[in-house]
Parts: sequence; C-alpha cells; structure tokens
Amino acid sequence: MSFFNITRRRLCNGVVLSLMCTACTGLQAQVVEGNGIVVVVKRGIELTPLTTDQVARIFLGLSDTLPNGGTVIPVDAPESSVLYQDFYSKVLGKSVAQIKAYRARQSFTGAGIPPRQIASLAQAFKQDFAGPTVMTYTRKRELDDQWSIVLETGK
Amino acid sequence: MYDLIIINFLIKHMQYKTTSRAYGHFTACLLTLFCHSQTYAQSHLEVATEPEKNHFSGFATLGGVYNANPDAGIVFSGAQTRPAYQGLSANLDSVIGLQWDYQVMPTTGVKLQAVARAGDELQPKIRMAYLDQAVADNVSLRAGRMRSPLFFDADTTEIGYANTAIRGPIPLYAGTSASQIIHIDGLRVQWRKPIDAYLLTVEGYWGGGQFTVYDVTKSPVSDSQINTNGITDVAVSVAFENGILRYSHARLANYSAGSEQLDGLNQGLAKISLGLNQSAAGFAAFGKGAIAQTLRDKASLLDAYTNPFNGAQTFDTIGFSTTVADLGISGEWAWLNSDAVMLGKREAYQISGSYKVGNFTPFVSYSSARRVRNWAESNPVTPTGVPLLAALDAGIESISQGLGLLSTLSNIATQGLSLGVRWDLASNRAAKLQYDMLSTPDALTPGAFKVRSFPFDNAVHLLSASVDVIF
Repeated sequence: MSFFNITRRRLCNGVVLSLMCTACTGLQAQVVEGNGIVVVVKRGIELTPLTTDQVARIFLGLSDTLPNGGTVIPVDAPESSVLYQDFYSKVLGKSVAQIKAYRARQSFTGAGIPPRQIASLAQAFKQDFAGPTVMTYTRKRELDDQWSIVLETGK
Repeated sequence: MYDLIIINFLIKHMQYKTTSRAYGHFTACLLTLFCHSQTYAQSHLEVATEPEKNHFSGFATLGGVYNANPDAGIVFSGAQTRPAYQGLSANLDSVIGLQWDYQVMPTTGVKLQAVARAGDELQPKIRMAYLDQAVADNVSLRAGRMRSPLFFDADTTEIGYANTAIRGPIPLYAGTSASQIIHIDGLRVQWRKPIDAYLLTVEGYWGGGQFTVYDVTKSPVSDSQINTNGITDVAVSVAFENGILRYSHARLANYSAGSEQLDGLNQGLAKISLGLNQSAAGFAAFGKGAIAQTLRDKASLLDAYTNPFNGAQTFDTIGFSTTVADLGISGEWAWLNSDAVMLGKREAYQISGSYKVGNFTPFVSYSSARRVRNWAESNPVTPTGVPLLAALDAGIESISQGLGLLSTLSNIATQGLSLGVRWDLASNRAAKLQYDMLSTPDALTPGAFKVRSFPFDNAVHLLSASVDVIF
C-alpha cells in the first residue's frame, strides 16, 4: 500500500514537474520569438538573400561588393550592446575580444577602417554614404518596413 | 571632450626627456588609461550617432620584464636606446600610441599616428602620417609615412592588444636588419579584388627612410645612421574569413650605415690599400710582375671591405595567420640577400600556436634566425707574406682581426622559445604572462642581444607580464 502511495506521489510529482518544464519551455519560446538577428539593407535595393559567409566577409572588411555589383558599407551596433555580441558570436562565430583584436590590427596598421557604430536602426537609416548600400543588423522584432532582410538567423 | 583631455594629458607628459619624472608620468598616464578606458570607450560610442569625420583612438601597453642574464640586454629593435638588462625593466614592452583619423571626403582620408616607447627615451615618434585617396573602384593611392610593409606581422608588434603574445618573436622581428626599418616615407598603390570567398590584395610601395640605430654597449652610447633610400616592395595577400596569407618581395637599392667606428675602419682600409698599391708599383718597376699583381689583388680585396654594411638588399617574406574554431596558428619566413660583405644571406622564421579556452588563450612560439653566408667569412683578408712588407702585413693582420670581430658581432644567429597565456579582461583590455628562452650559438655571438662584454652567457631567460589596452 505504502509502495503504491509513494509511487503515485512520485508520479504526481513527475507530472507536475513535467508540466512546469513544458510551461517554462513555452514561456522561453515566447521570449525568444522575434529575438533572432536579421541582416538588412534599405528597402528598395534589389538583392537576393545572402549567405552567412557573404555577410561575414562584408563585416570583416574582406568584401565591399554585393551580388548585384553595388558597393556596400557595413554599419555596426554599439560594441557595448548585447546585439553586437550576439551578431558576432552567432553569425560570425567570433567573440567580442577576437573582433576587437581584429579591428585593432586593421585600424592601427592602416590596413582598414572598422565599420561605423550606430546607436539605433533609425540612425543607421539616416546615414548618407553617397552611393554605397548601408548594411546593418537588428532584432527581427525591431524591424520596420524601411528595411529588407538579406539574412535571417534564429527566431 | 574626453579625447582632448586624454591627448593633452599625454602630449604634456611626453615632452619630458630622459628623467625619472618623465617615466613616472608615463606610468601614471598608462595607469589612467587602463582605469578609464572602458568608460571612455562606452562614452565614445554613445556619441557616435552621426557620421564622424574625426576619430581619435589609441593603444597602450604597460609591461614589465625580468631578465636574469648579467650581460645580454634585450631590445625591440636597433632603434631602441634603453635595452632591458638584468633585473626588472619596463623598457621592452611599455608603449603608448595615439591615432587621429580624419575622413575628408568619402573617398579621401588622413591618418596620423604617434608612438612613445619606454625603451626609446619616451620620445614621441611618427609611425603613420598619410593621405589615402580612392582613385577608382578597388584602387587606392596612399602618400606619406606608412608602417613598414617588409614583414607580415611586424607592423602589429607595438599594438599589444592585437596580438596573442606580449611581443613578436625577437629573433625574427628584432634581429634582422630589415627590422630597423619601422616605417617608410613614400607612396603606396593598392588594388583589392574580392574573388568568391577571398579578397586578393596587391600592393606596391616606393619610398625610403632614415633611422638611427644605437650601439648601447658603448659608453657613451654611439649611434649609426641607417639610410634606406630606394625601397620598392610588392606585396600580394589573400584574405579569407579565418585567415590571411601574404607574400612580400622588397628591394632596397641603397642600404647604407654610417658611424664614427665605420669611418675609422674605412680610413684604415684606405691607408693599407694605398700602401699595397704603391708597393705593387715598386715591384712592377723592378720586373716583379707576379708579386705586383698579388699586391694589387690584395688591395682590391681590402677596398671591397670599405663600408662593409652598405649595398643593395632584397628581402622576401611569406607569412600566414589562421584560426580554426579556437585554435590559432601563424607563421612567417623571411629571407635576406645583401651585397654587403658583412650582411650576406640571412634567414629567419617563426611559428606560433594558440588555443582559446574561455577568456584565456595559452600560446607557444618558436623562432630562429641564422646567417646563411657572409662574404667576409668566404674571403678572409690575409697578410701578403712578402718579407719586405712586414709593416704593411702587420697592418693587414690588425685589420683582419678587426673585420673578423665585426663579422662575429654582426652575426644575427638567435633562437627562441616562448610560452605564455593571454587573459581577455574586457573587450578592450587584456593581461598577459610570458616566459621566453633565447640563445645564440656560442658565447661570442651576440645575435639579437645587446651584449656589454664578451664572452657572455648566451642563454637568456625572460619572464614578462603586461596589460594591453585600446581606447
């Protein structure tokens, strides 16, 4: 009898625990929905979706040419932001320290100029680089209709 | 505003000359930067909301090295006046650099960079001052002072934060004559072409430079003026997402070294050469043509030793750097071929590996430099052996000993093994700990060291710690 009681109690506990876990997972899924990173250019530019490698090359300064033949200028989020960290770690697979060292090498040896850092998407939109296409990244949930997605990562 | 405060502070304190007060201010200045760099970086970003034409940035390293060797001093390059001798020293790695970038137009930029090293009397020196102009798609022109293009990696050795190790391997980056060429004044044409996943870059450099190289083993310290006019360099690199491969071929049409010691050597050689030619004329007058010819040949050989470090040089390097996940590998091989009798052919290389574990990156590096051949060894100056010329032979013997000593002292042969760890403290600060074991083939070969007396203990052990920051 006591054996069944214990088993039933454990079973109940297990079900409750399982339900709690499911609820938490659902909650977590709700939180991360729209939290994925999208790489964008200004709407109106005809561009096929890019691969992660193509985006990485643009942000590392190895390419400034788009598949449509136009030139592109990458614009970064503020280095202190979580978005910046997530972009480089999840999309380029590099830590902030690695990127910082890479940028220092570029800048202080005259090998290149690191991307400009802009505080918000709205400010990135205002950038006038006299010709080249501005490319930046943001959370999908923060995207507005002024931008076209060229790469989407995560949810 | 913060830019100006820091820059004024630095410039003010760089104006002091070789005084302990100057070093005190230098250290205080670096500490200020380490403490405030994070705040500075963040405040700087917050205001970077508009396209900026002016951009101030900088780098600094506060480093200490303990050298256990009583005779051998360590230098960053021949241009360093204060080697790290026995005991604790901040001279080898401590440096501060400031940079100003000005975007005149979207296709035109100006860069100015000044550096002050603890080992160079804290005197600010201009490393870069150039105008960069995009002249066509993928083509740019640069005019002014640029960091040396001769090496794959030497241009970043002052920017500690950009490197895994505290300093570049000494046998390669501090031991060869090309390492004296820290910058060139001239012109660069660059062509960049993205090809699939790669970026092909071809660069052509034309220019030259003048440098002062110090013999710190003399008291007072003596100097040599190195002129490197007529540098042409072609560099081809292929960059990809996880690395870069670069080849450079440089020709130095006129590498010349001048100093009081060399002037003395030249005068001695000229006197003996004149004596030999006059003797040859005398023997020829008495019909001793064979002896006369021998003496003339001997005089020609001595003439060839005039300015023994001068001549054209070619310098080839091939280097690479790559990262595979957390593993980093880099290497460089350099080959110097000179017409100068004391330089001859030289070879140096380095190979380094690192593995990132969280915020820590342990690393290991092996490097070696050697003299493959020098003309002084293959063409020794020997006395004539003519009984009537005993006085001249004594002079030739003396010159021969001097040249032999000079040949030994100019041997760059050095090898080194380095072990260490880098700790990334923040996104703009890193701390490092490093152990180096360096040696030369024997107790009479100084290699890359600054040796005060011979024979010396040719094994050098260094223990170093540093903090790097960029701001």
